[in-house]
Amino acid sequence: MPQASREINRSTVHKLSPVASCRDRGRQSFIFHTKRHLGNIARTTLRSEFDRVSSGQASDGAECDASSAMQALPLFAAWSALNIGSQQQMWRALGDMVNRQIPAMSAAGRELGGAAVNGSLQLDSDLEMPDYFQSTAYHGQPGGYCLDRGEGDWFSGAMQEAGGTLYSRGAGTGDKDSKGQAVVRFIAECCPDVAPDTVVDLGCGYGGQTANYAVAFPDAQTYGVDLGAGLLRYAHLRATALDLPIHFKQACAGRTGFADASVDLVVSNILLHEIPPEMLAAVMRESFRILRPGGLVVHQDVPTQKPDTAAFQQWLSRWQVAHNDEPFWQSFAETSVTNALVDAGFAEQDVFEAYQPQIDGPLIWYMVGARKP
Amino acid sequence: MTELEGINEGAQPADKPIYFDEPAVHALYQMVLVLGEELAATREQLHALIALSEKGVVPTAEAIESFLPEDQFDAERADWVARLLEPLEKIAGSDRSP
Repeated sequence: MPQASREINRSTVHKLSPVASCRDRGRQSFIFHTKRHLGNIARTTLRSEFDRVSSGQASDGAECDASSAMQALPLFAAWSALNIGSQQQMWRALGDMVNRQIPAMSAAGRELGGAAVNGSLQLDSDLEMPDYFQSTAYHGQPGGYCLDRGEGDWFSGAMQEAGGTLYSRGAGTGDKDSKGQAVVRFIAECCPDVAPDTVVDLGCGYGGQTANYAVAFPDAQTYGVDLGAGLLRYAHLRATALDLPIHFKQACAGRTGFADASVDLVVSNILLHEIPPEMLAAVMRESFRILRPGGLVVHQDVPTQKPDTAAFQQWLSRWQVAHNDEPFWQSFAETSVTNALVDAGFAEQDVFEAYQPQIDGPLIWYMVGARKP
Repeated sequence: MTELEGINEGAQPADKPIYFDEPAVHALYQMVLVLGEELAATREQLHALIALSEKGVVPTAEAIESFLPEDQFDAERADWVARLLEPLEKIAGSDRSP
């Protein structure tokens, strides 16, 4: 049964957190409110426009395909330009804040490097990077998650945490939300008997969610796996700053290097929509291979596959693909993860999928997984 | 140029679509965002300067940059961004001219 003794969420501050100056705060608040306002316009006015053109009631009265009709609307053009621009603006503002504090953050990192927390960092300079990972600047993050400028470089991890926080807040997610906690709550409800000795978080990034598993399962050995060295360097220092003994390992989520049947709980947070279909299948096979009998896998992601997803929401998802460096969003939406789990070896009756509301935000999360017999 | 704009290693963001027939309109939107951001930063600093002065604190650059506004200031930020973007609502319902 997971424990909820300590909350790690979007309001968590640690010794590596960059400090926003008055000017930073002004710039970031503008981006935040712009994103929030554009989100409101999407949910109200843009949605009405979508309904209008979908019903063939455009001014020329002709039947038309909603997507192409939307492209021709002045509101859509303006909304898109502002949305794209605010995302680019976000990375510039956060990059300026982080860059300015690199000396101070590096000093804090060096101090943490000697801290007596029993976590670890295992990088593999010979690891072959998949092409998709090297060529995708996820969400427009400069340099992408693969950015690695050599020993000690944690820039991509710091940017992933800062960008993820500002982006999510702009999308309406509050400070109390945490994707990792959503998974922990889900496990507590669906499998209260789970008491893992070993937890592996696939595609852990800067380690924001991995921290939740270390808190929820304090008696377990918790591992975070990711391809990005810059993400993992930051994740290691961040976990140390939070006094959490987490082991970070550079490896592919489809080929982790863990022994067969050696793990009790495999989790991932918003990994599946960031990888191509063949890698998703490999992740499911790897989840099955490394789980012990009785072990549990839970993958959390965006709810693009929900059967009753409205046409407008589907259209908005496709917008993400074209505008926010989300090359695999659509292929994920068209993939049956439950089938992929069965193909990987899980028994059909042991596979589940569910939807979990955010505790502090308007979204719901997709939970999919299986128990190994 | 900021350091960030100098990052040319790793993956680069994909080119984004431009929705306006006239490239200058796209450029104008980008300029509005930059102006809005700069104005937001200036408003933040001006608010700090006034608040510090009212408290009798010398508003040095350091005092201004480390000043934390009261929570209700966020409503003012939200209000002026809403006013900035209000014209968008007015073009709803119109279709682009052929």
